[in-house]
Amino acid sequence: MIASRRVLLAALAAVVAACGGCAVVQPWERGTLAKPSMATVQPPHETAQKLRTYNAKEGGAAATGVGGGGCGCN
Amino acid sequence: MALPGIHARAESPATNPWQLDASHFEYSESGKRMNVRVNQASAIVPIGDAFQLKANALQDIVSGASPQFNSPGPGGKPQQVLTGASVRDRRNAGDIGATAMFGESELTVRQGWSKENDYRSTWTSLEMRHDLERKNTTLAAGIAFSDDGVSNHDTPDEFRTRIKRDLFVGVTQLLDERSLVELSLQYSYSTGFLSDPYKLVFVQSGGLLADSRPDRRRQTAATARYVTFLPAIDSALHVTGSLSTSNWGIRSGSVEAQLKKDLPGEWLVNAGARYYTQSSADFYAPLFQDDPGPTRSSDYRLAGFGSVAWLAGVSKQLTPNLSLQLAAERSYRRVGLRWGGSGIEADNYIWSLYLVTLQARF
Repeated sequence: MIASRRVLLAALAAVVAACGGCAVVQPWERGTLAKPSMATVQPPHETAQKLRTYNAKEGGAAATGVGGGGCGCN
Repeated sequence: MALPGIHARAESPATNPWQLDASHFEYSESGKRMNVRVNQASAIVPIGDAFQLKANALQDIVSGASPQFNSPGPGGKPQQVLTGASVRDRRNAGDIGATAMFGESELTVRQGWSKENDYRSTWTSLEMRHDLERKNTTLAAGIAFSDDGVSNHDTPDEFRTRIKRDLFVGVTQLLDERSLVELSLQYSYSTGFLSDPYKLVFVQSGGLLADSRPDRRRQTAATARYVTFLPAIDSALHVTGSLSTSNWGIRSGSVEAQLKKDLPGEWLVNAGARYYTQSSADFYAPLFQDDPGPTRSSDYRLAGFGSVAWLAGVSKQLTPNLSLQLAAERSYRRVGLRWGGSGIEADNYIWSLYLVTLQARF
């Protein structure tokens, strides 16, 4: 467990460090990033219902954020 | 997570608009098992440019049969025993929250409730987001605390406590003019009554015993997402991967890939696939020869299995203020796709979900 957590934290640190070398994208260069197809945020109800389904039917986990409650049984 | 400002449609009427969402969700399983119907509504009310109030309410109705335990079938092969189609439950849930935006930061607090006949939940979360370098980088963090009570139909007034704490951190980084990456970590720690009061295990030498799980569960998960625009096909590629471990012995991994394409007339279509795999819990077995001791479960969700799913959706901006979204997913569970451990063919099944959402922004 502890080893796994260290690997995950090391992965996060590596990405953050690697991004130190990322080019700065200026606001006027974000036309493509602003396309609806590039949005990383889904409709909130769709996200909530899909995550609830996965949580109810799978024994694993994902890093998807906090909040929400209820059984999700059966 | 989101990089604020880069996903808003050009037609959005305001930077901090009123937002109203209403949706209907349908979930069903093969073999005449569970069906779930959910109606949900939520609202975000701006107060000035730097404050929002949020409210969300839903009601779901669950009906159908659910696997209860496995018994030895012909040749000793495990077979599922279902509860019968008598399960029917109604859940009411809601949450309220507030978001304050100051400078490059945003702070959200939420308080939620969920209630059904045999399960009650009260939860609180605190999330914050901070933009760096003109929103090239967004940092996010959150904590949540959930205080739940679990009973069953035989003892409906006896609620046993289940506590869950969540810790989340994440970073979103623009890589160039057409791609970005997100990396998130989450740690969850649950204590109390974590068993399922309706599940049983079959012990060859002793008959049926109650499902009994460890009273502590620690889960650690990492999720990465890469989004890039592919000019050759004029579409965006979204790839999401997750890994998780837990002290119950379950390891899991998933990969999802989707193509999303903007079409004339403010249509957006998407299609993709998801692969999921997990190993079984240390205390899981389809059948037990002898009493395994204080922890034991034959719950199909703690078995080793994998699944392959396809997913699709379509979205249409009807007016500058109104949009409609449809989403669907169909998942095929197979024991042969498991990461490791044990599982049984009898637990293979298919589930499908459909969701329609109407969004208004003023």
